[in-house]
Amino acid sequence: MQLLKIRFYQLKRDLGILFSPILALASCISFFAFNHPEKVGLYVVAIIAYLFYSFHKNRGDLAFAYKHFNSAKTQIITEYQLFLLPFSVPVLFTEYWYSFFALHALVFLIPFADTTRKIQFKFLFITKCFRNDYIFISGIRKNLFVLVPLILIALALSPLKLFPLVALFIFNAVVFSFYEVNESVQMIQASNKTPKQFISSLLSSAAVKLAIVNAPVLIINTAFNFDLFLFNFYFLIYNLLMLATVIVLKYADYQYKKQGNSIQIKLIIMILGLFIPYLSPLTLIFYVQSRAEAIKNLNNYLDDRHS
Amino acid sequence: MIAIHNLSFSYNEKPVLQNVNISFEEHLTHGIVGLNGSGKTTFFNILSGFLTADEGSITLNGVTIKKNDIAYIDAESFFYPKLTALEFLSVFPKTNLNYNEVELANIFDLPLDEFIDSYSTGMKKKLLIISQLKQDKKIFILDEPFNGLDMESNKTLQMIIELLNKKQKTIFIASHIIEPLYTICQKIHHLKNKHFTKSYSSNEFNQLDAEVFGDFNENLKNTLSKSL
Repeated sequence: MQLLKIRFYQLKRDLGILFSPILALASCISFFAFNHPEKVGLYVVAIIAYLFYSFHKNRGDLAFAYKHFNSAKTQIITEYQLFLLPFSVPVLFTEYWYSFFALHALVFLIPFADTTRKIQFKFLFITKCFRNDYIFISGIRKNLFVLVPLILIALALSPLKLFPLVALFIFNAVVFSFYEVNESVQMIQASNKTPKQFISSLLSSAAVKLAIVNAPVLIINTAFNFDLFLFNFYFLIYNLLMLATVIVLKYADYQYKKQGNSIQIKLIIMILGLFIPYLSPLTLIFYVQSRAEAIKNLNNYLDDRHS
Repeated sequence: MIAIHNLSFSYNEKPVLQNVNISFEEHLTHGIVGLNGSGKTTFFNILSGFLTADEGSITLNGVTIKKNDIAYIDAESFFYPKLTALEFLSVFPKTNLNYNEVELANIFDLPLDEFIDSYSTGMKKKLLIISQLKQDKKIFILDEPFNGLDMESNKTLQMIIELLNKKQKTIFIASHIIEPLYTICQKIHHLKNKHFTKSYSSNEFNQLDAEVFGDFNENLKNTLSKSL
Protein backbone atom coordinates (compact mmCIF):
# COMPACT_ATOMS: atom_id res chain seq x y z
CA MET A 1 0.00 0.00 0.00
CA GLN A 2 2.67 2.48 -1.13
CA LEU A 3 0.09 5.07 -2.14
CA LEU A 4 -1.47 5.19 1.34
CA LYS A 5 1.98 5.43 2.86
CA ILE A 6 2.73 8.45 0.64
CA ARG A 7 -0.61 10.04 1.55
CA PHE A 8 0.13 9.42 5.23
CA TYR A 9 3.47 11.24 4.97
CA GLN A 10 1.85 14.08 2.97
CA LEU A 11 -0.95 14.53 5.52
CA LYS A 12 1.51 14.37 8.40
CA ARG A 13 3.71 16.99 6.75
CA ASP A 14 0.96 19.33 5.46
CA LEU A 15 -1.68 19.13 8.17
CA GLY A 16 0.18 17.89 11.26
CA ILE A 17 -1.97 18.30 14.36
CA LEU A 18 -4.72 19.89 12.26
CA PHE A 19 -5.48 16.48 10.73
CA SER A 20 -8.01 15.37 13.38
CA PRO A 21 -9.87 18.73 13.62
CA ILE A 22 -10.16 18.89 9.82
CA LEU A 23 -11.44 15.32 9.74
CA ALA A 24 -14.03 16.19 12.40
CA LEU A 25 -15.00 19.38 10.55
CA ALA A 26 -15.52 17.43 7.29
CA SER A 27 -17.75 14.96 9.13
CA CYS A 28 -19.76 17.77 10.78
CA ILE A 29 -20.25 19.60 7.49
CA SER A 30 -21.34 16.39 5.81
CA PHE A 31 -23.76 15.61 8.66
CA PHE A 32 -25.33 19.08 8.56
CA ALA A 33 -25.55 19.12 4.76
CA PHE A 34 -27.43 15.81 4.78
CA ASN A 35 -29.68 17.03 7.61
CA HIS A 36 -30.51 20.26 5.79
CA PRO A 37 -34.24 21.11 5.99
CA GLU A 38 -34.31 21.72 2.21
CA LYS A 39 -33.68 17.97 1.63
CA VAL A 40 -30.64 18.47 -0.56
CA GLY A 41 -28.95 15.19 0.43
CA LEU A 42 -28.93 13.69 -3.05
CA TYR A 43 -27.35 16.81 -4.52
CA VAL A 44 -24.66 16.62 -1.84
CA VAL A 45 -23.98 13.02 -2.95
CA ALA A 46 -23.53 14.30 -6.51
CA ILE A 47 -21.26 17.15 -5.36
CA ILE A 48 -19.04 14.88 -3.25
CA ALA A 49 -18.78 12.31 -6.06
CA TYR A 50 -17.96 15.10 -8.52
CA LEU A 51 -15.22 16.46 -6.25
CA PHE A 52 -13.61 13.02 -6.06
CA TYR A 53 -13.91 12.64 -9.83
CA SER A 54 -12.40 16.07 -10.36
CA PHE A 55 -9.50 15.17 -8.07
CA HIS A 56 -8.96 11.90 -9.92
CA LYS A 57 -9.09 13.57 -13.32
CA ASN A 58 -6.58 16.24 -12.37
CA ARG A 59 -4.13 14.26 -10.25
CA GLY A 60 -0.68 14.19 -11.76
CA ASP A 61 0.62 10.96 -10.24
CA LEU A 62 -1.60 8.41 -11.98
CA ALA A 63 0.94 7.46 -14.65
CA PHE A 64 3.62 7.14 -11.96
CA ALA A 65 1.37 5.01 -9.76
CA TYR A 66 0.38 2.66 -12.60
CA LYS A 67 4.01 2.32 -13.66
CA HIS A 68 5.67 1.74 -10.30
CA PHE A 69 3.08 0.41 -7.84
CA ASN A 70 1.75 -3.12 -7.65
CA SER A 71 -2.06 -3.30 -8.07
CA ALA A 72 -2.21 0.46 -8.53
CA LYS A 73 -5.93 0.48 -9.24
CA THR A 74 -6.70 -1.40 -6.01
CA GLN A 75 -4.53 1.07 -4.12
CA ILE A 76 -6.33 4.04 -5.68
CA ILE A 77 -9.75 2.51 -4.93
CA THR A 78 -8.72 1.90 -1.31
CA GLU A 79 -7.37 5.42 -1.03
CA TYR A 80 -10.65 6.98 -2.24
CA GLN A 81 -12.81 4.70 -0.10
CA LEU A 82 -10.80 5.65 2.99
CA PHE A 83 -10.85 9.36 2.24
CA LEU A 84 -14.59 9.17 1.65
CA LEU A 85 -15.27 7.79 5.13
CA PRO A 86 -15.25 11.15 6.99
CA PHE A 87 -17.98 12.33 4.60
CA SER A 88 -19.94 9.11 4.31
CA VAL A 89 -20.04 7.76 7.89
CA PRO A 90 -22.07 10.73 9.27
CA VAL A 91 -24.64 10.08 6.54
CA LEU A 92 -25.53 6.82 8.29
CA PHE A 93 -27.02 8.89 11.13
CA THR A 94 -29.33 10.86 8.84
CA GLU A 95 -32.46 10.00 6.89
CA TYR A 96 -30.24 9.66 3.82
CA TRP A 97 -28.44 6.63 5.34
CA TYR A 98 -28.69 4.79 2.01
CA SER A 99 -26.52 7.53 0.44
CA PHE A 100 -23.58 5.96 2.27
CA PHE A 101 -23.73 3.05 -0.17
CA ALA A 102 -24.45 5.29 -3.15
CA LEU A 103 -21.41 7.46 -2.33
CA HIS A 104 -19.08 4.49 -1.94
CA ALA A 105 -20.41 2.86 -5.10
CA LEU A 106 -20.00 6.05 -7.15
CA VAL A 107 -16.51 6.74 -5.83
CA PHE A 108 -15.57 3.07 -6.37
CA LEU A 109 -16.26 3.52 -10.09
CA ILE A 110 -14.09 6.63 -10.49
CA PRO A 111 -10.71 4.85 -10.97
CA PHE A 112 -12.32 2.86 -13.80
CA ALA A 113 -13.22 6.02 -15.72
CA ASP A 114 -10.94 6.73 -18.65
CA THR A 115 -9.64 10.20 -17.85
CA THR A 116 -6.68 9.98 -20.22
CA ARG A 117 -8.68 10.11 -23.44
CA LYS A 118 -7.83 13.33 -25.21
CA ILE A 119 -10.58 15.08 -27.11
CA GLN A 120 -8.88 16.86 -29.96
CA PHE A 121 -11.82 18.98 -31.12
CA LYS A 122 -10.74 22.57 -31.44
CA PHE A 123 -14.18 24.21 -31.74
CA LEU A 124 -12.67 27.32 -33.25
CA PHE A 125 -15.90 29.28 -32.69
CA ILE A 126 -14.82 29.39 -29.02
CA THR A 127 -11.68 31.31 -30.03
CA LYS A 128 -13.84 33.82 -31.88
CA CYS A 129 -16.31 34.21 -29.00
CA PHE A 130 -13.70 34.66 -26.29
CA ARG A 131 -10.90 36.57 -28.02
CA ASN A 132 -7.66 36.38 -26.01
CA ASP A 133 -9.50 35.15 -22.91
CA TYR A 134 -7.34 32.05 -22.70
CA ILE A 135 -8.94 30.93 -19.43
CA PHE A 136 -12.40 30.67 -20.98
CA ILE A 137 -11.13 29.35 -24.33
CA SER A 138 -9.27 26.54 -22.59
CA GLY A 139 -11.95 25.89 -19.96
CA ILE A 140 -14.89 25.78 -22.36
CA ARG A 141 -12.99 23.64 -24.85
CA LYS A 142 -12.11 21.22 -22.07
CA ASN A 143 -15.65 21.03 -20.65
CA LEU A 144 -17.89 21.74 -23.63
CA PHE A 145 -19.58 18.35 -23.49
CA VAL A 146 -20.54 18.94 -19.86
CA LEU A 147 -21.41 22.63 -20.10
CA VAL A 148 -23.77 22.47 -23.09
CA PRO A 149 -26.08 19.74 -21.69
CA LEU A 150 -26.11 21.43 -18.29
CA ILE A 151 -27.20 24.80 -19.62
CA LEU A 152 -29.77 23.15 -21.90
CA ILE A 153 -31.20 21.20 -18.94
CA ALA A 154 -31.26 24.39 -16.84
CA LEU A 155 -33.09 26.25 -19.61
CA ALA A 156 -35.54 23.42 -20.22
CA LEU A 157 -36.34 23.11 -16.51
CA SER A 158 -36.28 26.85 -15.87
CA PRO A 159 -40.04 27.21 -15.17
CA LEU A 160 -39.78 24.61 -12.38
CA LYS A 161 -38.71 25.24 -8.79
CA LEU A 162 -35.20 24.32 -7.61
CA PHE A 163 -34.29 21.83 -10.40
CA PRO A 164 -32.96 24.39 -12.91
CA LEU A 165 -30.85 25.94 -10.17
CA VAL A 166 -29.16 22.62 -9.45
CA ALA A 167 -28.16 22.27 -13.12
CA LEU A 168 -27.14 25.91 -13.23
CA PHE A 169 -25.09 25.54 -10.07
CA ILE A 170 -23.21 22.53 -11.45
CA PHE A 171 -22.63 24.56 -14.64
CA ASN A 172 -21.18 27.39 -12.56
CA ALA A 173 -19.04 24.94 -10.56
CA VAL A 174 -17.51 23.73 -13.84
CA VAL A 175 -16.75 27.35 -14.74
CA PHE A 176 -15.07 27.80 -11.34
CA SER A 177 -12.83 24.84 -12.19
CA PHE A 178 -11.38 26.89 -15.10
CA TYR A 179 -9.32 28.64 -12.43
CA GLU A 180 -7.68 25.47 -11.11
CA VAL A 181 -4.89 25.73 -13.67
CA ASN A 182 -2.05 28.22 -13.45
CA GLU A 183 -0.78 30.04 -16.50
CA SER A 184 2.88 30.78 -17.08
CA VAL A 185 4.25 34.03 -15.74
CA GLN A 186 4.84 35.23 -19.30
CA MET A 187 1.09 35.02 -19.98
CA ILE A 188 0.32 37.09 -16.91
CA GLN A 189 2.90 39.67 -17.89
CA ALA A 190 1.51 39.86 -21.43
CA SER A 191 -1.52 41.65 -19.97
CA ASN A 192 0.68 44.70 -19.38
CA LYS A 193 -1.54 45.67 -16.44
CA THR A 194 -0.89 46.55 -12.83
CA PRO A 195 -1.92 43.85 -10.31
CA LYS A 196 -5.09 45.77 -9.39
CA GLN A 197 -6.03 46.27 -13.04
CA PHE A 198 -5.25 42.63 -13.80
CA ILE A 199 -7.52 41.33 -11.04
CA SER A 200 -10.28 43.85 -11.78
CA SER A 201 -10.34 43.05 -15.50
CA LEU A 202 -10.41 39.30 -14.83
CA LEU A 203 -13.22 39.70 -12.29
CA SER A 204 -15.37 41.93 -14.44
CA SER A 205 -14.89 39.91 -17.61
CA ALA A 206 -15.66 36.58 -15.89
CA ALA A 207 -18.61 38.01 -13.93
CA VAL A 208 -20.22 39.43 -17.07
CA LYS A 209 -19.90 36.07 -18.84
CA LEU A 210 -21.35 34.13 -15.90
CA ALA A 211 -24.19 36.61 -15.43
CA ILE A 212 -25.10 36.47 -19.12
CA VAL A 213 -25.42 32.67 -18.97
CA ASN A 214 -27.24 32.61 -15.60
CA ALA A 215 -29.65 35.46 -16.33
CA PRO A 216 -32.06 33.75 -18.80
CA VAL A 217 -32.59 30.73 -16.52
CA LEU A 218 -33.08 32.91 -13.45
CA ILE A 219 -35.39 35.37 -15.21
CA ILE A 220 -37.64 32.59 -16.57
CA ASN A 221 -37.57 30.85 -13.18
CA THR A 222 -38.57 34.07 -11.40
CA ALA A 223 -41.32 34.79 -13.92
CA PHE A 224 -42.90 31.40 -13.22
CA ASN A 225 -42.15 31.37 -9.47
CA PHE A 226 -42.20 34.93 -8.24
CA ASP A 227 -41.94 33.76 -4.61
CA LEU A 228 -38.37 32.68 -5.49
CA PHE A 229 -37.34 36.17 -6.61
CA LEU A 230 -35.20 36.83 -3.53
CA PHE A 231 -33.66 33.37 -3.52
CA ASN A 232 -32.81 33.62 -7.25
CA PHE A 233 -31.27 37.03 -6.66
CA TYR A 234 -29.25 35.59 -3.78
CA PHE A 235 -28.26 32.63 -6.00
CA LEU A 236 -26.88 34.95 -8.70
CA ILE A 237 -25.03 37.21 -6.27
CA TYR A 238 -23.61 34.26 -4.33
CA ASN A 239 -22.40 32.57 -7.51
CA LEU A 240 -20.74 35.76 -8.71
CA LEU A 241 -19.12 36.09 -5.29
CA MET A 242 -17.90 32.49 -5.50
CA LEU A 243 -16.47 33.11 -8.95
CA ALA A 244 -14.68 36.23 -7.74
CA THR A 245 -13.36 34.34 -4.72
CA VAL A 246 -12.10 31.46 -6.83
CA ILE A 247 -10.23 33.95 -9.04
CA VAL A 248 -8.59 35.86 -6.20
CA LEU A 249 -7.76 32.61 -4.37
CA LYS A 250 -5.94 31.42 -7.47
CA TYR A 251 -3.77 34.52 -7.72
CA ALA A 252 -3.23 34.76 -3.96
CA ASP A 253 -1.69 31.29 -4.19
CA TYR A 254 -0.03 31.73 -7.61
CA GLN A 255 3.65 30.97 -7.70
CA TYR A 256 6.04 31.11 -10.58
CA LYS A 257 6.52 27.54 -11.85
CA LYS A 258 3.92 26.07 -9.51
CA GLN A 259 1.30 24.17 -11.45
CA GLY A 260 -2.24 24.11 -10.07
CA ASN A 261 -3.46 25.50 -6.81
CA SER A 262 -4.92 24.08 -3.64
CA ILE A 263 -8.28 25.70 -3.06
CA GLN A 264 -10.30 22.49 -2.74
CA ILE A 265 -11.16 22.85 0.97
CA LYS A 266 -12.22 26.48 0.61
CA LEU A 267 -14.20 25.57 -2.49
CA ILE A 268 -16.12 22.89 -0.57
CA ILE A 269 -16.93 25.41 2.18
CA MET A 270 -18.09 27.94 -0.42
CA ILE A 271 -20.30 25.37 -2.19
CA LEU A 272 -21.85 24.37 1.12
CA GLY A 273 -22.44 28.07 1.83
CA LEU A 274 -25.13 28.07 -0.84
CA PHE A 275 -27.11 25.42 1.07
CA ILE A 276 -26.12 26.32 4.61
CA PRO A 277 -26.60 30.11 4.86
CA TYR A 278 -24.52 30.58 8.01
CA LEU A 279 -21.46 29.38 6.06
CA SER A 280 -21.98 31.93 3.29
CA PRO A 281 -20.27 34.89 5.07
CA LEU A 282 -17.11 32.78 4.97
CA THR A 283 -17.06 33.19 1.19
CA LEU A 284 -17.12 36.96 1.57
CA ILE A 285 -14.33 36.76 4.14
CA PHE A 286 -12.28 34.53 1.80
CA TYR A 287 -12.84 37.05 -0.99
CA VAL A 288 -11.81 40.15 0.94
CA GLN A 289 -8.78 38.44 2.45
CA SER A 290 -7.62 36.76 -0.76
CA ARG A 291 -8.11 39.81 -2.97
CA ALA A 292 -5.57 41.74 -0.92
CA GLU A 293 -3.24 38.73 -0.94
CA ALA A 294 -3.65 38.27 -4.70
CA ILE A 295 -2.73 41.88 -5.43
CA LYS A 296 0.26 41.64 -3.12
CA ASN A 297 1.36 38.36 -4.70
CA LEU A 298 0.95 39.66 -8.25
CA ASN A 299 3.33 42.50 -7.41
CA ASN A 300 6.05 39.87 -7.83
CA TYR A 301 5.08 39.36 -11.45
CA LEU A 302 3.57 42.64 -12.64
CA ASP A 303 4.73 46.24 -12.36
CA ASP A 304 2.64 48.04 -9.77
CA ARG A 305 2.48 51.19 -11.85
CA HIS A 306 2.84 52.16 -15.48
CA SER A 307 5.58 54.56 -16.57
CA MET B 1 24.29 50.01 -16.90
CA ILE B 2 22.57 47.34 -14.82
CA ALA B 3 24.01 47.67 -11.35
CA ILE B 4 23.66 44.99 -8.69
CA HIS B 5 24.51 46.33 -5.28
CA ASN B 6 25.04 44.18 -2.14
CA LEU B 7 22.49 41.61 -3.25
CA SER B 8 21.80 38.68 -0.92
CA PHE B 9 19.19 35.95 -1.06
CA SER B 10 18.52 32.84 1.03
CA TYR B 11 16.17 29.89 0.57
CA ASN B 12 14.93 28.70 3.96
CA GLU B 13 17.83 30.49 5.67
CA LYS B 14 20.33 28.76 3.39
CA PRO B 15 22.24 31.51 1.56
CA VAL B 16 22.22 31.18 -2.22
CA LEU B 17 23.61 34.60 -3.13
CA GLN B 18 25.63 36.75 -0.76
CA ASN B 19 26.76 40.34 -1.19
CA VAL B 20 26.68 40.24 -4.96
CA ASN B 21 28.15 43.40 -6.43
CA ILE B 22 28.47 43.59 -10.18
CA SER B 23 27.65 45.87 -13.09
CA PHE B 24 26.47 44.67 -16.49
CA GLU B 25 26.94 46.91 -19.47
CA GLU B 26 23.81 47.52 -21.50
CA HIS B 27 23.40 46.32 -25.11
CA LEU B 28 25.79 43.39 -24.61
CA THR B 29 25.23 39.66 -24.45
CA HIS B 30 26.25 38.39 -21.01
CA GLY B 31 26.84 34.73 -20.29
CA ILE B 32 26.42 33.49 -16.73
CA VAL B 33 28.28 30.29 -15.93
CA GLY B 34 28.60 28.27 -12.77
CA LEU B 35 28.29 24.73 -11.55
CA ASN B 36 24.93 23.17 -10.73
CA GLY B 37 23.33 24.87 -7.74
CA SER B 38 25.54 27.93 -7.98
CA GLY B 39 22.48 30.20 -8.06
CA LYS B 40 22.18 31.12 -11.75
CA THR B 41 18.42 30.61 -11.95
CA THR B 42 17.91 32.28 -8.56
CA PHE B 43 19.89 35.27 -9.84
CA PHE B 44 17.67 35.44 -12.94
CA ASN B 45 14.52 35.14 -10.84
CA ILE B 46 15.65 38.07 -8.70
CA LEU B 47 16.67 40.07 -11.77
CA SER B 48 13.18 39.45 -13.22
CA GLY B 49 11.51 40.43 -9.97
CA PHE B 50 9.88 37.01 -9.37
CA LEU B 51 11.89 36.66 -6.18
CA THR B 52 12.59 39.48 -3.78
CA ALA B 53 16.16 39.77 -2.54
CA ASP B 54 16.70 39.75 1.23
CA GLU B 55 19.04 42.69 0.79
CA GLY B 56 20.48 44.85 -1.93
CA SER B 57 19.24 46.51 -5.09
CA ILE B 58 19.15 46.08 -8.85
CA THR B 59 18.92 49.20 -10.97
CA LEU B 60 18.99 50.07 -14.65
CA ASN B 61 20.72 53.44 -15.05
CA GLY B 62 19.90 54.27 -11.46
CA VAL B 63 16.22 53.32 -11.68
CA THR B 64 14.56 50.10 -10.50
CA ILE B 65 14.09 47.71 -13.42
CA LYS B 66 10.49 47.35 -14.57
CA LYS B 67 9.24 43.81 -14.98
CA ASN B 68 7.74 44.88 -18.26
CA ASP B 69 11.20 45.61 -19.67
CA ILE B 70 12.21 41.97 -19.33
CA ALA B 71 11.51 38.98 -21.55
CA TYR B 72 12.17 35.78 -19.65
CA ILE B 73 12.70 32.48 -21.41
CA ASP B 74 12.98 30.01 -18.60
CA ALA B 75 14.53 26.57 -18.65
CA GLU B 76 11.17 24.85 -18.31
CA SER B 77 7.95 26.74 -18.71
CA PHE B 78 4.42 25.46 -18.64
CA PHE B 79 1.49 26.26 -20.84
CA TYR B 80 -2.23 26.55 -20.46
CA PRO B 81 -3.99 23.31 -21.48
CA LYS B 82 -6.25 23.02 -24.52
CA LEU B 83 -4.86 26.05 -26.30
CA THR B 84 -3.43 25.99 -29.78
CA ALA B 85 -0.03 27.59 -30.27
CA LEU B 86 -1.68 30.36 -32.30
CA GLU B 87 -4.11 31.14 -29.46
CA PHE B 88 -1.21 31.16 -27.01
CA LEU B 89 0.74 33.61 -29.18
CA SER B 90 -2.31 35.85 -29.56
CA VAL B 91 -2.17 36.53 -25.81
CA PHE B 92 1.07 38.48 -26.26
CA PRO B 93 0.92 42.04 -27.57
CA LYS B 94 2.86 42.67 -30.77
CA THR B 95 5.19 45.49 -29.81
CA ASN B 96 8.05 44.28 -32.01
CA LEU B 97 6.86 45.70 -35.33
CA ASN B 98 9.16 43.50 -37.47
CA TYR B 99 7.89 40.32 -35.85
CA ASN B 100 6.54 37.76 -38.28
CA GLU B 101 4.87 34.92 -36.46
CA VAL B 102 4.37 32.65 -39.45
CA GLU B 103 7.97 33.02 -40.67
CA LEU B 104 9.37 32.27 -37.22
CA ALA B 105 7.07 29.28 -36.81
CA ASN B 106 8.23 27.97 -40.19
CA ILE B 107 11.87 28.44 -39.28
CA PHE B 108 11.35 26.53 -36.04
CA ASP B 109 9.06 24.03 -37.76
CA LEU B 110 6.14 24.60 -35.38
CA PRO B 111 2.55 23.69 -36.35
CA LEU B 112 0.75 26.71 -34.90
CA ASP B 113 -2.76 25.27 -35.23
CA GLU B 114 -1.96 22.25 -33.05
CA PHE B 115 -2.70 22.03 -29.33
CA ILE B 116 0.37 22.88 -27.26
CA ASP B 117 -0.39 19.78 -25.15
CA SER B 118 0.79 17.68 -28.11
CA TYR B 119 4.11 19.56 -28.38
CA SER B 120 7.42 18.04 -27.30
CA THR B 121 9.62 19.81 -24.73
CA GLY B 122 11.78 21.30 -27.47
CA MET B 123 8.75 22.57 -29.40
CA LYS B 124 7.37 24.19 -26.25
CA LYS B 125 10.68 25.95 -25.71
CA LYS B 126 10.67 27.22 -29.30
CA LEU B 127 7.09 28.46 -28.86
CA LEU B 128 8.07 30.34 -25.72
CA ILE B 129 11.01 31.92 -27.57
CA ILE B 130 8.70 33.06 -30.39
CA SER B 131 6.21 34.50 -27.88
CA GLN B 132 8.89 36.56 -26.20
CA LEU B 133 10.28 37.82 -29.52
CA LYS B 134 6.84 39.27 -30.29
CA GLN B 135 7.45 41.92 -27.66
CA ASP B 136 9.93 44.74 -27.89
CA LYS B 137 11.67 44.31 -24.53
CA LYS B 138 14.92 45.93 -23.41
CA ILE B 139 16.31 42.92 -21.58
CA PHE B 140 16.18 39.24 -22.59
CA ILE B 141 16.93 36.56 -20.01
CA LEU B 142 17.49 33.06 -21.33
CA ASP B 143 17.92 30.29 -18.78
CA GLU B 144 19.41 27.16 -20.36
CA PRO B 145 18.02 28.09 -23.78
CA PHE B 146 19.89 25.36 -25.66
CA ASN B 147 18.52 22.46 -23.58
CA GLY B 148 16.05 20.28 -25.45
CA LEU B 149 16.58 21.96 -28.81
CA ASP B 150 17.72 20.09 -31.90
CA MET B 151 20.90 21.12 -33.72
CA GLU B 152 19.18 23.33 -36.30
CA SER B 153 17.11 25.10 -33.65
CA ASN B 154 20.21 25.67 -31.54
CA LYS B 155 21.89 27.30 -34.52
CA THR B 156 18.75 29.38 -35.20
CA LEU B 157 18.61 30.49 -31.58
CA GLN B 158 22.25 31.55 -31.67
CA MET B 159 21.47 33.67 -34.75
CA ILE B 160 18.42 35.17 -33.03
CA ILE B 161 20.54 36.12 -30.02
CA GLU B 162 23.13 37.76 -32.30
CA LEU B 163 20.35 39.71 -34.05
CA LEU B 164 18.85 40.83 -30.74
CA ASN B 165 22.29 42.01 -29.72
CA LYS B 166 22.53 44.03 -32.95
CA LYS B 167 19.17 45.57 -32.04
CA GLN B 168 20.82 46.91 -28.87
CA LYS B 169 19.11 44.51 -26.49
CA THR B 170 20.79 43.49 -23.26
CA ILE B 171 20.87 39.71 -23.09
CA PHE B 172 21.63 37.34 -20.23
CA ILE B 173 22.21 33.66 -20.92
CA ALA B 174 22.87 30.88 -18.45
CA SER B 175 24.00 27.62 -19.93
CA HIS B 176 25.47 24.33 -18.81
CA ILE B 177 27.01 24.08 -22.24
CA ILE B 178 29.71 26.73 -22.30
CA GLU B 179 30.85 26.41 -25.93
CA PRO B 180 28.00 28.38 -27.60
CA LEU B 181 28.56 31.19 -25.11
CA TYR B 182 32.08 31.73 -26.48
CA THR B 183 30.68 32.72 -29.85
CA ILE B 184 27.59 34.72 -28.87
CA CYS B 185 28.59 36.49 -25.63
CA GLN B 186 30.71 39.58 -25.29
CA LYS B 187 31.16 38.97 -21.57
CA ILE B 188 30.94 35.88 -19.41
CA HIS B 189 30.54 36.07 -15.64
CA HIS B 190 31.46 33.26 -13.30
CA LEU B 191 29.07 32.62 -10.40
CA LYS B 192 30.75 30.69 -7.61
CA ASN B 193 30.55 30.57 -3.82
CA LYS B 194 27.36 32.66 -3.81
CA HIS B 195 28.73 35.61 -5.76
CA PHE B 196 30.30 36.56 -9.08
CA THR B 197 33.99 35.78 -8.76
CA LYS B 198 35.17 37.13 -12.09
CA SER B 199 33.99 38.62 -15.37
CA TYR B 200 35.72 37.66 -18.60
CA SER B 201 35.91 39.64 -21.82
CA SER B 202 36.02 37.75 -25.11
CA ASN B 203 39.83 37.78 -25.26
CA GLU B 204 39.91 36.01 -21.84
CA PHE B 205 37.41 33.25 -22.62
CA ASN B 206 40.25 30.72 -23.04
CA GLN B 207 40.89 30.90 -19.27
CA LEU B 208 37.26 30.13 -18.43
CA ASP B 209 37.23 26.37 -18.70
CA ALA B 210 40.17 25.93 -16.35
CA GLU B 211 38.76 28.39 -13.82
CA VAL B 212 35.16 27.14 -13.86
CA PHE B 213 35.97 23.45 -13.86
CA GLY B 214 39.45 23.56 -12.27
CA ASP B 215 38.54 22.46 -8.72
CA PHE B 216 35.74 20.25 -9.98
CA ASN B 217 38.05 18.40 -12.41
CA GLU B 218 40.75 17.91 -9.79
CA ASN B 219 38.34 16.60 -7.11
CA LEU B 220 36.56 14.36 -9.58
CA LYS B 221 39.82 12.91 -10.86
CA ASN B 222 40.94 12.11 -7.28
CA THR B 223 37.59 10.57 -6.29
CA LEU B 224 37.30 8.53 -9.47
CA SER B 225 40.84 7.20 -9.24
CA LYS B 226 40.06 5.95 -5.72
CA SER B 227 36.69 4.48 -6.71
CA LEU B 228 37.48 2.71 -9.97
